[in-house]
Amino acid sequence: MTDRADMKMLPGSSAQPALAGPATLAPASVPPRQLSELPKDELEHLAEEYGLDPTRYKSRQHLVAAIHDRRRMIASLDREAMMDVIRWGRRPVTANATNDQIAQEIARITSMRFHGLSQRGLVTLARLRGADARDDEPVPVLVRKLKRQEGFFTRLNRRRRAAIASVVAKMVGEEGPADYQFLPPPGGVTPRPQSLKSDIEESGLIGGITNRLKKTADSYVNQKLDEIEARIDRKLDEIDRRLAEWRDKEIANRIRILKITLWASVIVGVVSLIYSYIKVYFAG
Amino acid sequence: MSDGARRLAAAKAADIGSMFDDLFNFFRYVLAIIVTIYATVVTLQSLLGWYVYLAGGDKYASLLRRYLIVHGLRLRFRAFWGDVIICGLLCVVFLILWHAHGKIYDIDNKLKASRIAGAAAPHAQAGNGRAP
Repeated sequence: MTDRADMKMLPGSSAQPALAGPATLAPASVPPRQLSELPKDELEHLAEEYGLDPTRYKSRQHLVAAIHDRRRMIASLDREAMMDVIRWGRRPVTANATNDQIAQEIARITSMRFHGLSQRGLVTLARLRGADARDDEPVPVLVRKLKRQEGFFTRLNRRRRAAIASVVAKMVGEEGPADYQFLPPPGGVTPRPQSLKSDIEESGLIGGITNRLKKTADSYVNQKLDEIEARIDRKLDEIDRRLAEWRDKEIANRIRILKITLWASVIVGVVSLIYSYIKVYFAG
Repeated sequence: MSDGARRLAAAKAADIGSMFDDLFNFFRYVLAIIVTIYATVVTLQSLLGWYVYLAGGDKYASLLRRYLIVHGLRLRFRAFWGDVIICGLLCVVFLILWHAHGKIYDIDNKLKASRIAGAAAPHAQAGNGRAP
């Protein structure tokens, strides 16, 4: 599944649809100048969403070209391989998510622990992180390329965060990560059930703890809302049951009153008939 | 007016007049009139109140209407069928008694008419005998 409708082309590039792209890629159907017309901050934000570092591009035109290339590359990626990465990164995506959305979700994964990720997933991840990876490359090579791609200071920071995370996790006494739910329920996004250690390693001490607190609070509120909902449902059922009982009792009472009235009428009628009979045949 | 018609009118007048002649008859008629009027007024008042309450156009009235319909559909006849059948049979007995009253009053009217006729016959014969 490709995002043809979302693809944006560089100015003047519509005349060259086969610009170093895969054979299956269709030309964009949107006006080609749309992407270049975006304000700079939006353009940078878009680049970050796709996992690009906007500071690395000297001019606006270079950034537009990079985003354009990234979109074309995303459109050419194998969806199943992307799903492998999503599963590995424990990210919530909907079943009908587009390649673009999946790629943006993958771009948020900063983990460098590649255990459990398939070869095709590694290829996809490497490409999305800017490494040059071929389809047939073995896993160790791909991992090495990914690690090389990370950069010295980033690696140093990650190590530092990992150390802090280990200390904090020991202090908190955290258990292992909870069960991962791949697909979120409709209408809501499931928070990532990741360990605190991983959170801190990815987002830093404050960010990780904040994320964890937010997730815990969300989970607590959701649980409480579910409990309240269940209690309201129980109450409504109880009210309905009592109303049905009251209705049955009320109808039974009315029928009983009607029956008593009819009995009284019949008894008075019988007495009246006897009286009339005596009056006609004996007193008349 | 013919003689027979006159006699029948006299018998009917005697029947209506009997309401005030007889204490039991008076009790029966007054009770029937009062109870019928009272029951009719109370029933109509109640029905009108419910109609006005349920005819509201707001969403709560609409909700209540639907809820009442649902409750009505959920009502099980088998829970009350014994009492309902007894009520039906009592209504039949009441109608039979009513019919029996009509028969007895009819017999009474005929007896009264025959008595009047029997009492008038000797006078007529006597009058006929004197005339020539």
